[in-house]
Amino acid sequence: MAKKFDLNDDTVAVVIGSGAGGGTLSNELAQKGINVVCLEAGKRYTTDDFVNDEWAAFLQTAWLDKRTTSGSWRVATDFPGLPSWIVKSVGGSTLHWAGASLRFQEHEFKVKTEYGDVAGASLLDWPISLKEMEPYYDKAEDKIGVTRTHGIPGLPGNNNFKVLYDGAQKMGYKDCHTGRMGINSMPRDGRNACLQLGFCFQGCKSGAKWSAGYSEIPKAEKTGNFELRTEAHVIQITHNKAGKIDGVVYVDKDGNQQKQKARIVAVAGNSIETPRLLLMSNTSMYPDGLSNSAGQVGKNYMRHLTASVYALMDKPVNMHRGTTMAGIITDESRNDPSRGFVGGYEMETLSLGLPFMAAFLVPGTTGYGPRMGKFLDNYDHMAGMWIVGEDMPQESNRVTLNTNEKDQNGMPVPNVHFDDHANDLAMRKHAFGKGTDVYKAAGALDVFETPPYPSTHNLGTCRMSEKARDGVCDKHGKSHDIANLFISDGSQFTTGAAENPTLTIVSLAIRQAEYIAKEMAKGTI
Amino acid sequence: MTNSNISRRSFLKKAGKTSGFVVLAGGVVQLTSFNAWAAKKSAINNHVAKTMLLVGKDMFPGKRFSDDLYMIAVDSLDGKASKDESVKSALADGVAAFDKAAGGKYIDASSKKRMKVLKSMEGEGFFNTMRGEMVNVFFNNPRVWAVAGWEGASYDKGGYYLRGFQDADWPQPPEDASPKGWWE
Repeated sequence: MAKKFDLNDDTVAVVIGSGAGGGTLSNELAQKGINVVCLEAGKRYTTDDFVNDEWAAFLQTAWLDKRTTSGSWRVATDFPGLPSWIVKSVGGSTLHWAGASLRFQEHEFKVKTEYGDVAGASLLDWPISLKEMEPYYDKAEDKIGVTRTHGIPGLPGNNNFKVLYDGAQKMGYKDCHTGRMGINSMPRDGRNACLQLGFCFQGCKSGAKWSAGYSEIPKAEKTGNFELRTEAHVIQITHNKAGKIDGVVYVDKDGNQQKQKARIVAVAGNSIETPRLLLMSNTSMYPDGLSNSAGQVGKNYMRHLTASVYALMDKPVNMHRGTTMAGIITDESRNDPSRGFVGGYEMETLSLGLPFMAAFLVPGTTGYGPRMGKFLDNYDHMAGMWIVGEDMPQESNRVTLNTNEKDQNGMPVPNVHFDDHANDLAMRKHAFGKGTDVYKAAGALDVFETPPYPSTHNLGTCRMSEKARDGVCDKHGKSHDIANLFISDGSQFTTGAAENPTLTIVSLAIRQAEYIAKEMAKGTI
Repeated sequence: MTNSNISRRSFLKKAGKTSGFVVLAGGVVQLTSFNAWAAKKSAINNHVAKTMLLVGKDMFPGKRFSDDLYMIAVDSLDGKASKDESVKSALADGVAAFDKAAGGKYIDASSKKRMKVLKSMEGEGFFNTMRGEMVNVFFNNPRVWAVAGWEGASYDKGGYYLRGFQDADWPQPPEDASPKGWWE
């Protein structure tokens, strides 16, 4: 029942991107009877297409369009052309997400109030509270099938979790379990139960993990109100003389430019492409780009305080067997400034296969030597965790257009500038220490403190704010400047919290769909 | 691994040896069946090949990694050099620079000296080439995975839910932390 809409149909809602934000919003709108054209820059892969091969899967699905980096973050040195590791495919980065589905804590929606003034940080309270979000978190957890919610059992913990749990007990941590995961512990919603494959990042071949690509998009297609166009890379959002959005220009799979008319446009290209597209859509009426009257588009790029701790244990672990993110310690996620920083961090098991471990254990030119050789030689003795912490928003951390470099469509590439905030550095130091302690307690012989990988959690850059001067969109993701333009992905995040972002992105998309449907019915958009 | 590498391995097996060199503890590269290796049309000369092997080994030393495995990176670069003259000369120049930095031959230098040479070469062309080949080719080779204990693709084997995903010798966490699986 795949529907085809005419390029000149100006009644459709155009959604740019088909990931956690765009894929969810598309389905939610289509379920409500709204006609949707979803434009996805990548190709469509099914579970049959996914490969249990780290580099092959990376080359198959990663967003590898040209990008540049600047700033003092180590990613700019180690991976100058790859600031982020996200996916260019139907389903977006839900193809490779690990599945952690954590609600924000109450204080994480109002950090300006809770943390006070932090020098150099552009902290701001979200214009919504946990209480307002709770019904949508509930719907999102039901949609995704999050374990330990809605009566869904938790997943069994793998070897990597056993080591983490043992260390956590010996450290006296109170809250360590296999997490709330968007991975089926039982068959649910037409998807299989987890087979503990261990290739969550490469696209889940058993389909046990929720992914917008095969969980949301097919449902949208069944409504008859939805058309997905793949390899349709939007390069401009256009507006009429009155300043209202009237369509988009995209490059199709044959390299031809097409113009799709639209009643509304929702942008969900992840937090680098979304601001880039707004900036690239500048006109004489909007000389600084769309929705940028406050000069906020692209600013406050956040990427979570990430770091990893990899341990060489005294016995074989075989951490690669089973789910990549198999369990969590939440004890350090509280806000406790006595630790020397505001905000907190989650500790979540993580494993990489040997090919990626060689590339990421110590990235860059210093990644070699006897110690690294010993770890890789004893890969089966390794255990590991990833640290997800709240990083401070800073106006100078931003996505801008690099007009000196052009992409395959001749468009300026995005430059991603990032400097760690002093709070980020203090938190990372603390987290490295605690992570090391966990593994030493569980019998580690040696521990590596691994610096951040290219960003998987890209946030901010079009943040929602109560006042138009502080951000790009309002509490429904609607542009402060243009009534029929919406931000529908993690770019909306006012601040990042310590929680993996997908559940919040999906919840916001459900909430936004409700708002759009209501406003469309009223005729306000 | 490329097809040319596979044929190289087959060739070595037919020649009755699976290893081209043995690198002794002191770092000395000793020829064993080098004639077999050299009999194959190689773009790079023996000294360049020996040095490359030792550089790869110095970068990622491992007790389980045999010299035969380190040859994976040498073979791979040899294959590239045979197709591209600039690669061939870059490898020769790189080895010459390593020898110069070692104050003689890199392969004759002490372990301590060799680590100093590596440090001084970080970010340089030949260093990056060797590190890149080790990371992207050596550690992406199933023979290396097998000895290091990474098991590669699992879907075709039904995943790990019945194959040891909880067999590590640490206490089994209680059920509220780690519930039973759907199959139990």
